[in-house]
Amino acid sequence: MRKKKKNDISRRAFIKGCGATCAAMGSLPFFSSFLNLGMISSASAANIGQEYKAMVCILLAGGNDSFNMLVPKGNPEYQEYQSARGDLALGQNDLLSLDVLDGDGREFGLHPGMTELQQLFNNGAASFITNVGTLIEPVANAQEFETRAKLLPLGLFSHADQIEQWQTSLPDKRTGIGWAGKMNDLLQDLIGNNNISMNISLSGTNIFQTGNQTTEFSVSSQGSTSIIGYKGGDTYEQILTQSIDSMLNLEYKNIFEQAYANKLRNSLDAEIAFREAIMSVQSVNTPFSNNMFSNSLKFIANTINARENLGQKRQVFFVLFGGWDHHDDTLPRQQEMLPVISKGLSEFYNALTEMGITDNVATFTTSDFARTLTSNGKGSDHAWGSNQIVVGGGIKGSRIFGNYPVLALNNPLDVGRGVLIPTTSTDEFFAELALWFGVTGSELSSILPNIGRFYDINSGSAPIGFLNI
Amino acid sequence: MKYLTKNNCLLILLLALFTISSIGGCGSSGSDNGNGQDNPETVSMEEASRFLSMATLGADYEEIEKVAEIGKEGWLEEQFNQPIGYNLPFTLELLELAFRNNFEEIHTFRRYSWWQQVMTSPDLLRQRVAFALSEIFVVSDRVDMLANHPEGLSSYYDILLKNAFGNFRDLFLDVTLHPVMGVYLSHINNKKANPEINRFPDENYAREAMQLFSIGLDELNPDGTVMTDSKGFPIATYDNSNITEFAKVYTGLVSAPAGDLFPERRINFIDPMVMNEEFHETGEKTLLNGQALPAGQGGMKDIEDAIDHLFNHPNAGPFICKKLIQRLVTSNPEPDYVQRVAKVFADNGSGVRGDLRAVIKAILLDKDASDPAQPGNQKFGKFHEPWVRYVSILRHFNAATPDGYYLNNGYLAQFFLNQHVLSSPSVFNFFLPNFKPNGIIGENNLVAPEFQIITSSTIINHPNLIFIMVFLGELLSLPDFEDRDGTFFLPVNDAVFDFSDEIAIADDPAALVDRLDLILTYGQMSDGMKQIIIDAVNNFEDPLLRVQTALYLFMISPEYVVQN
Repeated sequence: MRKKKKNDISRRAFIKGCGATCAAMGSLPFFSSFLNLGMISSASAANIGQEYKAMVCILLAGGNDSFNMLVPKGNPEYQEYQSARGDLALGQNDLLSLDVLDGDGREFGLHPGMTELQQLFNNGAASFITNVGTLIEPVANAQEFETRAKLLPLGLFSHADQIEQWQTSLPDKRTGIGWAGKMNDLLQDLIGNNNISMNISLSGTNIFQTGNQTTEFSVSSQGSTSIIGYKGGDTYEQILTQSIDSMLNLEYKNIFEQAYANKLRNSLDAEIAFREAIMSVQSVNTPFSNNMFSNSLKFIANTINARENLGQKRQVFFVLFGGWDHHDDTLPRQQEMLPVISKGLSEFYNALTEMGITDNVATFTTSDFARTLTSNGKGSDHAWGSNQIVVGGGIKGSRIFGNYPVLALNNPLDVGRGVLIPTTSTDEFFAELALWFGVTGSELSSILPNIGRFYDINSGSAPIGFLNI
Repeated sequence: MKYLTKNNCLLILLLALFTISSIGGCGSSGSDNGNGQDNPETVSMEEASRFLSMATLGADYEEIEKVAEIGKEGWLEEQFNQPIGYNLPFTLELLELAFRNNFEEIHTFRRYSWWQQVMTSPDLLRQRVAFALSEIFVVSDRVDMLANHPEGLSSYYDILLKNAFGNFRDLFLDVTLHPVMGVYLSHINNKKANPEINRFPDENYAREAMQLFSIGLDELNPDGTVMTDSKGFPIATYDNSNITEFAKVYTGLVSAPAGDLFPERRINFIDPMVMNEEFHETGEKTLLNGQALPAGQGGMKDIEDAIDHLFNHPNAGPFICKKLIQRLVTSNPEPDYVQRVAKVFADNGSGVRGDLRAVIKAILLDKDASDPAQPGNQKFGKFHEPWVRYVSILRHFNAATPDGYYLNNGYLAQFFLNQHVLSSPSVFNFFLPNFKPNGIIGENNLVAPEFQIITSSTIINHPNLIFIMVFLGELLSLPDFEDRDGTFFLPVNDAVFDFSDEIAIADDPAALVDRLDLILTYGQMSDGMKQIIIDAVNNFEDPLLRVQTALYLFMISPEYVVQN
């Protein structure tokens, strides 16, 4: 039998997750620089306007085998696919048909486990960005790759580097600063008078949302949590609160100690402000599946629902969905995992529909890379150009953007084993999202320094054309 | 105090006169050993405590006293000779009980075994080093197959324990051949190329064995700093074509025969993988720097040669030594600290390369680790990992169960802290060695790997975990076994802290705080923080509540969280 200890502290405090503070919300405490005060950026000319916008970035960590997600369904492209993929090829009749608008005549199908995404696509709510990947500069063909005639991304085929580059869009450097972090640095004064970071992470610290001046606000799919008893009303809680506040007020000579104190102070303050905002709106009614991915999207939906109380005109959410490194058992693993994506995206879109803001929220996937078209006998290995999903945001739906590549082996883009050189860069993909979000053309290169190698801002056209910019 | 002999009684009286406001204890090293001789081995209690914070997963007061008495080197020698606290035997015991009783929830067994050893085995240093190695040679139960084979994960951890004071080359080979690593980095059943069906060897292990386990991405100077070319750019140690060549080496490994223990299993998760020459790539393989392995020399010879090749690469010493220093002592070691240790890796003094016992000794006894001036150094130290803080509080205060079993599945801590032994989200561990946080750490051009998992949620979860342990008395995450009427094959009991020594002095808040300061912050806690704790404690009468309050505030303080 477990022994229970008698003490003054209420066990219910833990279960509630916030002690008596839930009931007794006093005035909001002083906010520190982490929450954006005190960091004056030069005035941004960004187009924020009155309209709310949000982005949801989903990282499929490990490298989703996305040429088994979006697959050529018609002949002869399907035969090329089947020949290259060998024992990894999906059955032609198993692929879910896609009604493609503005296509080039090729037929495409979706992995059989993604019926909800098929529906979103066919209803015009989703599109694909194809053969997109990390590039320092355009690489025309395998010969340029082999002779190193063009610069190639650092650590190409390495998870850590490629995941970083899909968050920084800087394949020539290891900076640890992400483009959403830089957007936050740029926009922070314009996006509302609230003090909570525009960048909200469901998956902890991440490079995507790390800026030079700002970082992310971390929550879990269960919500935000404070220290038990902090700011509570009863005697013990007051003593605790005073001790913690005094402790965080000390000056620490050791840099690590001071950094920890800073982070704890900021986190406590931000959490209180955030929770109050969430608690004062109703949750969305749309049902969500009970798994980590859907639960994260559900929490995001509820946070979006609280946007007015949070005073945020712009929000960027980040969710890491891991486990995609399918060197082994690609087929069974994708069979389990792609439906989770499909359902989650669809449930989230339904929640946005419930709120009437489907056009205001753009959800997109990213991943380290695609995987080798050829099999290693059990699965596939690391590759490069990949296919990603975009949903909502007023997107031009039902379309296959980018240049879906030829999948026959040894074609000019094949650098070996069906590793394909991307024909669209992450810069172009993210530039379109950033412009939609409100970054101006002249500010674009501060967010995406390499964009000029792929897209001319003065051309008057969009980088890819999937959003209404 | 144990070393209070007649001869140094006078010394202590004299010290007391001078040091009324000092932290307490005999502050200087070099105290008399009772024979009138200066014993350079003895150290102060504070220095002993600090040393143990680097060398163990948490030490109690008695252990601090022991190091103070026999010195650091004496303690290290004692530790090198302790019997090894292996994980596998207890896991196998539990599995046998489970099979006999049709009990299915077995994936937690490797957790129970880990706790058993960490809480009760006297090889404290080895357990600490093995944990550090598990964050370098990462495998994880995030791969379902490994979660479902606790005997594999326990066996894998055991090779880290076994080789912790052995040779790095043996460690690297054992890791390479272990079936759990074979599954985790997918080189088990890796077959030679078959171009006709477009199948080529899996490159996963080939890559990580270089990137993470031996030489890293960039050429290094002997002091661990990155070498640069004439234009100032780093020089890559290998490129993708090298990986493709190495991938050929790691072909042909298959599971050892199932054996008597689990005759029906497809994979033997315990014994080293064996070579199936039919699946092994027989052609010549070119390693780094043009060295070639001749064709047809056999799979195991290829693997051993490749391991030797990487082991002898000049990067290996600085690469591994710097990682170990970061795990144990400080996040930003001075280059000459790394160089001194890497030199010991290169030659332990008896002409042997890769002697980990010598390396560990060098790391812990180096002046940069033990210099009393270091605590004043603003840039020295590291964040105690969340997981280590969780384990440490249990060990500092001798948390014990009535029956001696620690059936801790660790779920609560894992959920709160996002960290758990052998549960890393990827082969890159919970945090990257070069993580540079925004704010004052980054501004000072320092790295702080552990800070990467100190997020706005875990930084709040940790105090709440401490709250649950210290105030609510829930130390371990015990299984419920609801479907078995709450029974298991062994007694299921929570652990209880032993606060008896602290409660005995709780009537004197300053003394209580000083004792906790010695155990947790090696006598370095600031007067400001001590006063905050004393003030809090003075609100209460009940001795236990006083101890709980003081301990809680200690555990959440920046001065405890940072190990320096």
